[in-house]
Amino acid sequence: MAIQLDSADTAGPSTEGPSAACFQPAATLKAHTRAVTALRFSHDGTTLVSAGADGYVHFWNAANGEHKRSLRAHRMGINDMSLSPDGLYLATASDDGTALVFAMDPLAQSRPGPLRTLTGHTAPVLSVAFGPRANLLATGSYDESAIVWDLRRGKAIQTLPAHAEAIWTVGWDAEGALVLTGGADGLIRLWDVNTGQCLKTFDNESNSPVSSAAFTPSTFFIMSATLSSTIRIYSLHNGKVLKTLQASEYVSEKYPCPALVFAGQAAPQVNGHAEKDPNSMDVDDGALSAAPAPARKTPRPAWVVAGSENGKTIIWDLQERRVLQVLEGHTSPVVALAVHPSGKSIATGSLEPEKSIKLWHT
Amino acid sequence: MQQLLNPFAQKYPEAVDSTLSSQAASVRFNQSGPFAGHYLAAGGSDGLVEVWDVESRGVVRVLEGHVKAVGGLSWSRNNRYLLSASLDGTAIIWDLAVASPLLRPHNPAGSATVSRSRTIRFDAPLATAQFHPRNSNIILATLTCNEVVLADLRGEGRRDVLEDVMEGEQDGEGQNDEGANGEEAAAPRKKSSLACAAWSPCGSRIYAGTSSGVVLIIDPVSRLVLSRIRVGTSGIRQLAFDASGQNLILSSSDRALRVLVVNPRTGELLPIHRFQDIINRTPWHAVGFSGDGEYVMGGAGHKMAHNVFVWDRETGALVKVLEGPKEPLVDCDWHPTRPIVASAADSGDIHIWQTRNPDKWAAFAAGFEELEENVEYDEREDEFDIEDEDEQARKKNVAEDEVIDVLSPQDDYPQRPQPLYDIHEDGDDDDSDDARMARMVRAAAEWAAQGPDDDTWDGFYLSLDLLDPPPNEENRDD
Repeated sequence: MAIQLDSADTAGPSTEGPSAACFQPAATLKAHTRAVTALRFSHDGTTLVSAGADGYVHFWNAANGEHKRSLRAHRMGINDMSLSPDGLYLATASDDGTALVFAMDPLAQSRPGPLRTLTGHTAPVLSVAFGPRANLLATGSYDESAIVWDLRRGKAIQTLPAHAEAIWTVGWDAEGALVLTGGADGLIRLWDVNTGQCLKTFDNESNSPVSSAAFTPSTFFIMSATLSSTIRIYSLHNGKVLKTLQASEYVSEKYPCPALVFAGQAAPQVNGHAEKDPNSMDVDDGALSAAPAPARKTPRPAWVVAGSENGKTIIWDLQERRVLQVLEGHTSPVVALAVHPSGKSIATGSLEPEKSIKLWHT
Repeated sequence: MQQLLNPFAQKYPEAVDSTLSSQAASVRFNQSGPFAGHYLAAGGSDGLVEVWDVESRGVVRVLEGHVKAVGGLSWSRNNRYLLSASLDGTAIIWDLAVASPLLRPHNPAGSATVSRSRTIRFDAPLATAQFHPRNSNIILATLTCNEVVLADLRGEGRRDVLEDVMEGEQDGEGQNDEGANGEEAAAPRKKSSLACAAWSPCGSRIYAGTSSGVVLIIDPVSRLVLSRIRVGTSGIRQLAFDASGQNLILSSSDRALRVLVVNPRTGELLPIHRFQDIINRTPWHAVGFSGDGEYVMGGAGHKMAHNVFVWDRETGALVKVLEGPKEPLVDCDWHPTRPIVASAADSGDIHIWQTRNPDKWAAFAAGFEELEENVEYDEREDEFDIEDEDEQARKKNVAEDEVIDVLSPQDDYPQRPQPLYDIHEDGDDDDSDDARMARMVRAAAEWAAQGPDDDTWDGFYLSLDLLDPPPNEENRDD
């Protein structure tokens, strides 16, 4: 368990032009003895949780990377992890075919072992996601099915059987009415949780396996990353691709590398530029500019961050489809990724042989 | 969301989908917030209050406190508090935030880990009780002795028994001034008692039904009657608003249901429909509107059948009679966003009525669309032309420049309507009825905004207590 504090100038970020994205390496966290497979920030922003192929879950201070505690969750590898929105529970998906639910607060863990053991899958569980009210949990498995679990009873309430290959990713809409599954068959399907019916299917032109897919904070859109080094934003209503993100530094052809969308920082220079609208040059702005400028709040831009097989982490501006920053430092594929709720920190985790976590702050 | 994906889905339920085993005498969905309709509160005939999770069909809270049947339930605006009214003469405000002392859920609106449940005692058994729509510290309670009490729990607390008294009238000797109060009260008025009451959904007025068939509009600040509207001669037993506050339904002892349109500014009422089961002369045990206000629901009080009548509010036509098991219905409620109805039977079971959605096989293939009937397809002139790749890429690039907002979460969930009072703010006819009413509504809104409660986070939901092992019924299966 070693923390190695990186100095800012050893691995300088390569920025492309003026941008507000300037994440600096803050710490390298080493504790996992095998690949780091999942990272999450707690919803209150104080803790970083990591899960690895060694079956361990580690808890870290999100600000300085200090190791807090560890938990031996599974005897076999953990593939994915989810934290409940109320911050009370942690769920893990494992190669042993089970998903386990633990309490986040060690004091609340009155008896040893998990609070719930969800057994039903016949092959390794690859993905897990708490519903927005943490009453239900969705899991996707190598056995080509997804299961929605009632957590209170610890029983399956819906089994969603319709993918032709392993399900690599599961997600929820904001209300908890829809579950999304994405699989190696290249399809993303939407399901009605209440009835278990398939409502819609999205594909991509090359039928590349879907390594990650999720609703954006607005439920009108779905973001997916596929094993063709491409990130897409779909419209929920007509299934059209609205944005495509690619970059020469972004390689995801073999390992499912995650992608996330988050609210970035509004660039101050862009802000100042926007106020000098060329069309309003003629207007006498002596009286006008004083009043509206402070009142107008620049909306935060949508940024997309994705890990890459070459060890890099790429940040795009979603609207302009432009690379803002490439985080370099890892030497193995980046397969775990998390963004702090404030949007000011990113955590990345890599495969073997490097198997380390890096924390990046702005 | 589902309705967005399938705009032609039927908007009223069809058949019993599942039955929850309970002792319910009253049922109520939570009405507002992003998770509106995800919880169903059930007031037991044994005094136990249960909160069910509608998705998982499981009990998430069991609230013990009443010793007699619970007939009235009300959710606070962000669902943190639940109010239950019982025949034992108490109303209890339950704080649903904390499940177990060991668990402290993360709450972005501030930390509130102290349970703030409290009991309010009354002199007579309670029929129903309602939170003020915008402040859970104000309660409107209906007692079975035909009294309506407005209890203000802020500060030192204050309780008023609402009476049929207009401004300028002296309590008890109002008959002398009757002539001035319009036609409906021109005849010598015998003092009638208030049998039921409800807040307007914006919280600026109280509507009360009397035992002589008059609806009273009451100003909650002055506790005086603003106007009286006679809708019939028989006593009003129940009244309910739709979510927007634009429609009101009355259930009277003449076994008729009357739907009235509410004027959004003045609050005055205009009758539009009158429903009656002429053949069976059915009495009604529960009335209400669908979540979108398009349908009117009446829970029939048959002795040997479990029926919910559904009418179209616009046309007044009967569209569906939900026929259930042969046990009398005691209460029912319509889901705030979906075509789901929950009804409580005499036995205490809760039936959940839903639509049956046929499988959409086209949904399994991307880009497929199901058509209602055959369509002659006309191919476009250039449909099979080979387009230049550069041109294609350029077009795609231009199309992808479209601005999209992926970060703003949806806010189209059910919310309590805002009080309307700014319409005649700077009008010159300051003495007009509208301006007077606007001033009254503003005063009521300001009054309700004082002493706010802790129910400030609109994303509130009930955290599960997983420290308890799974319930026993399930363990026996293992």
